[in-house]
Amino acid sequence: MNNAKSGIEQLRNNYFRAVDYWLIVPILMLTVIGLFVLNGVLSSGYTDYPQNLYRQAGAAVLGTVVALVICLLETHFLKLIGWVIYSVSIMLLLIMPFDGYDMTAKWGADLWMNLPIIGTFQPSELTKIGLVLVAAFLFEEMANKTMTSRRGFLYLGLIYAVPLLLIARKDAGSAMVIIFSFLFILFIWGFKYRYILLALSVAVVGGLPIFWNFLLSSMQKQRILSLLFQGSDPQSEYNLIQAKSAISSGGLVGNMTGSYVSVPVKESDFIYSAVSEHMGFIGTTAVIVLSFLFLMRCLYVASKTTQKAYSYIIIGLAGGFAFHFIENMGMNVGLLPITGIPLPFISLGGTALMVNFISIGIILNISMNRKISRR
Amino acid sequence: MANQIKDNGIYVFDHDHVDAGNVEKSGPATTIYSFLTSRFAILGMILCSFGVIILIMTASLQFSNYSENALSNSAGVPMQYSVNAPRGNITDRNGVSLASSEEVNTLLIANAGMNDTDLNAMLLELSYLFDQYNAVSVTDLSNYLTINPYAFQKTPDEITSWQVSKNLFNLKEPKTAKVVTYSDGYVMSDPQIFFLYLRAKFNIDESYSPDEAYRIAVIRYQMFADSWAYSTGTPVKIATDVPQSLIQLLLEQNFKYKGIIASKDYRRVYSPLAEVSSHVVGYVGKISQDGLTQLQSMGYSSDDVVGQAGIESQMERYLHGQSGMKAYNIWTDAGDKGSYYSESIGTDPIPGANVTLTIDSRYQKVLLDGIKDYIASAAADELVRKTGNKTASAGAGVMLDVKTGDILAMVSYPNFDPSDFVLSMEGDTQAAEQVKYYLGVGKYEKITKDDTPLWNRAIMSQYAPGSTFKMVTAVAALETKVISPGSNTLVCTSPVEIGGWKFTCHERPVGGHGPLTLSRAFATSCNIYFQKLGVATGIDAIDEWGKKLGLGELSGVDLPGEFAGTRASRETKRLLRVQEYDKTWFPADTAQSAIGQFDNDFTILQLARYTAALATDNLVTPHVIKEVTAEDGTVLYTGSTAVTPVGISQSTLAAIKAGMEAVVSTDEGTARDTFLNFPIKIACKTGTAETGFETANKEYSNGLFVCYAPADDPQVAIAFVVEKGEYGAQTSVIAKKLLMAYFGISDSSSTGTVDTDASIGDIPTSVTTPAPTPTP
Repeated sequence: MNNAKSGIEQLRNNYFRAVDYWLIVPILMLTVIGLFVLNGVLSSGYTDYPQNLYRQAGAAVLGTVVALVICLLETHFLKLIGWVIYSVSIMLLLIMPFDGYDMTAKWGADLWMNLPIIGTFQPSELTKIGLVLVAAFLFEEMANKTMTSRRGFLYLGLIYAVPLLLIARKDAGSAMVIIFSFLFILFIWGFKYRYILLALSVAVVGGLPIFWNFLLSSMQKQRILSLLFQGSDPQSEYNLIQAKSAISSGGLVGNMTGSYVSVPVKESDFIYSAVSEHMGFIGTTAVIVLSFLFLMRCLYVASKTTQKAYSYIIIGLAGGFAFHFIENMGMNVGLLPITGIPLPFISLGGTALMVNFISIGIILNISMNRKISRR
Repeated sequence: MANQIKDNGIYVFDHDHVDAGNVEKSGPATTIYSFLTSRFAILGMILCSFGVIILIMTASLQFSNYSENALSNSAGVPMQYSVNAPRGNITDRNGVSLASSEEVNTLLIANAGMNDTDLNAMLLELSYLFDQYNAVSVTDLSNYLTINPYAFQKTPDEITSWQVSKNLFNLKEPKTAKVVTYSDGYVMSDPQIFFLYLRAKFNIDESYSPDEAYRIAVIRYQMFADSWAYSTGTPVKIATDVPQSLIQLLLEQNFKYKGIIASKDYRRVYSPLAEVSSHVVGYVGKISQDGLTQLQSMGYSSDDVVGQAGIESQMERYLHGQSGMKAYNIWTDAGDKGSYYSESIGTDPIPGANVTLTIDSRYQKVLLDGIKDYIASAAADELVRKTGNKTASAGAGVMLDVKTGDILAMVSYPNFDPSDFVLSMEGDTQAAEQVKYYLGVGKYEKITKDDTPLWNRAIMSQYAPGSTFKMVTAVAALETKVISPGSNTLVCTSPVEIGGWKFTCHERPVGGHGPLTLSRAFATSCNIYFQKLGVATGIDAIDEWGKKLGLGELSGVDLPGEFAGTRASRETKRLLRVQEYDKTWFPADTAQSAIGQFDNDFTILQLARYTAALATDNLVTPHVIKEVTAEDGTVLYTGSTAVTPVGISQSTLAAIKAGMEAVVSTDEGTARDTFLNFPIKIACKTGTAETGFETANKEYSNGLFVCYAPADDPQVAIAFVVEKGEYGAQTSVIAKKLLMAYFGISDSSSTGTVDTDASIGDIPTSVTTPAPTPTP
């Protein structure tokens, strides 16, 4: 214990030498690219421009500070923090139907809250972090054989069931993020390949019809159908056509004509098309390279982290980010079904940006302290 | 305290998953192997492969000319709005306009980035201009709130739901009664406080007088009601019926009236003749939520006007046309630094296609007036007033071209005025009240659906055909050789037991007619004859021929909401009766079915179609749409003139024709007096069908009539009903008027009068009262 503490003290003394620049620099660069693109998008026709851009920039600065402050925490507080975030977010999810800000009419589907000062906020954003933190420690106990797998998965099932049920109703995107980050941890934890194969085949045979019939609203179905059978439904396909032509108009360095393709939800779901429109091939390549650089660094840090729980936390959080990055960019180019998933650090949304920076803070913290193990 | 600090770059964390032995050995091969089998590496490789795919797909889009089409549709114009297409015209077969589109100038307002002070000042000026030029506001605040004196214009409940509406004010309902001020976000029941709230909400400066503030609020409210569109750059409509002079003025001073766009919209205009053909033409209204979900993918938006009934609804996809997308240019607060978008950018609206009906407005009017006049005279009848019975109130009729199936006239009375729906959408209170009555909402809720004027009785109401059904019985009997054209005499005795049930001949209750041939039976409409004939033929044959003649079957008419009706048969009885013991078929049921009662219930269109089939042996496809033509004259759709042969032998048809002619030509004929000296030979049958409410409600029976003419060279078939219009023989005067119009006969050449002597009419036997169970 003493050694560990002194290690952290040491790190505090050399704070800026200890920060993992491989993690934070790509993220900051993504955020800057995001602000540049958003400036272009929002300045053409959005009413509260430039206030919304200022808010985004403010959230980015604040988020960076928050992330760097989180680095200073004792790493082992993460377990407690995890439970706090988890329970608070579940409470928020529960009260939401009564005090939710009804954006459904305008945006299709989302679980928003209207809070004073902060504005709209999605509790499910917090749930994602809380679940990863809580689950990671359970996985660790299972990996260390201090808990049987049967008991561990029972606990995991209970922990995941409540928020998933609450979120999946309206916001399939967030539910999928949660499921994917869980699967990432499960894979790294050591789920046997033959079980993976089995699970995949069961999922394909049994899960798909259930998923299709019971869990998807007709709008979501339409979005997925429009991807599978392009040309089937003009309304749902419209978004994709417009997004693709926006990407196409970018060329090498962006659309210099000053006239842009109108893409619905361009500031959020279809921000990737705006990146291409405003920065062209150079911009999209930068976004892809930076985001994957960040993800690979996360994997590297996770592989070098000596305490398993922290390794799983990084994997879980990075898994969520990976899903966001891949799904958002993938749906913009027509590779993946269209869901309401924003591009982290680039899409408009101050509170989402803040929450993402909290995740970054946690990863940074673990990265700085990865060589220290607590028993 | 075993701190496992690894500084030497050998990562053993993976030992759970990788054989520990491999890690111990050094060497490039094992290092690569252990790296590749590490789950972190596998995960990384999977993720990276996605990254590479996305990179390639993005690049291939960026370095190809993907979808030039999508680009040119909306390329580069963040400021665009949809332009409605004119709705297609509806004309009758002679090209007489029934429904058309009138162009109206509208004013839209787009977000020009002005602050509230400037915006309010500009809107106040606009408001005075609107008054000066009689432009009409779209969503009128005055429907809810007026000042001088302060008052809400709706019930407290409606006002509350208006104020709590999430898309509008989103105010809260106070849980306890309390004094509410304009600023604390609760529902305001005091109009004056609510007005203060509006002033605060729209930032209307205190220096404005209440009247001025109200003027501003009226326009601000319209923008506010569409605030979502407005805030995203879509222009919001604020005024219609704007005179060209005002448009001119505003365009000249567009630097002053920032954000104002002049546009065009179209209003449905129904000619007075559309009221005569209201059930065929239908009407238009705001798209419903259900309709929107259905049609959204075809480019409909929530404020579209769509057909709600009749041809307007049936041919909606043809009539509607396609909205266009246009760029707009406005002066914004930032001045003129933006780019100018040419008028040619975007897509032009595609006007709706025009529908030509087979309906002839002249016959339509004659038929409607005929029914109307008959009802008026029936109400005035001395006998009716004395008995206090409920008399004729409604009716329906159809005239068909027997060869093509063209519906020359289709009338349902009471009818409605489609213009009321258009006017009510524009805020005419009188028309709105009328529409409420039509739709049976509000205080008209008690009116049942089939009593409203919107109900198309010609295809939706199902009437017992009564004696007009007797041709089916005769055809079945002749085709199954129960009787033959040469030998068809049956004896009418009264009273008589048929199928185990006692019936009396209503014309000669004591003794009966004696021996009757088929022709005389038709002429006198003797029930005993056809009941005996029916029992001898059997219900199965009657059912079969009824089906072949299109009775109780959907005719496939090109109007929405057609009913199939029911044909009396063993199967129908089994389906309709609840009690098991009721489901058995008795010969007495056959007797009743044979004269068009019992379970026989058909639409008037079916009766017309069946009469036409008796004339030509061909079952036509009745239709009201002649053709649909696009703006450039291309024919997009033609009504089906296909016919199905019924398969009745010529000798049977001749015998039926002789019988139907006898109804007019012999002295005993039930329609003789009406068509006395009528220059055209017609074949017809009257019918008086019991409804079952005669005793209970003191109502008259329904009067029906079917005919085709000329008898020797059939051209048209007519069928109509006058509800409670007893008797069929008397209603035949309506047919006469219609035929006179069709053949161009002036009134003097015929001297037919309406004979009110009941002894001539074909009164049905009274058998609706439950009788003792007959022995099968």
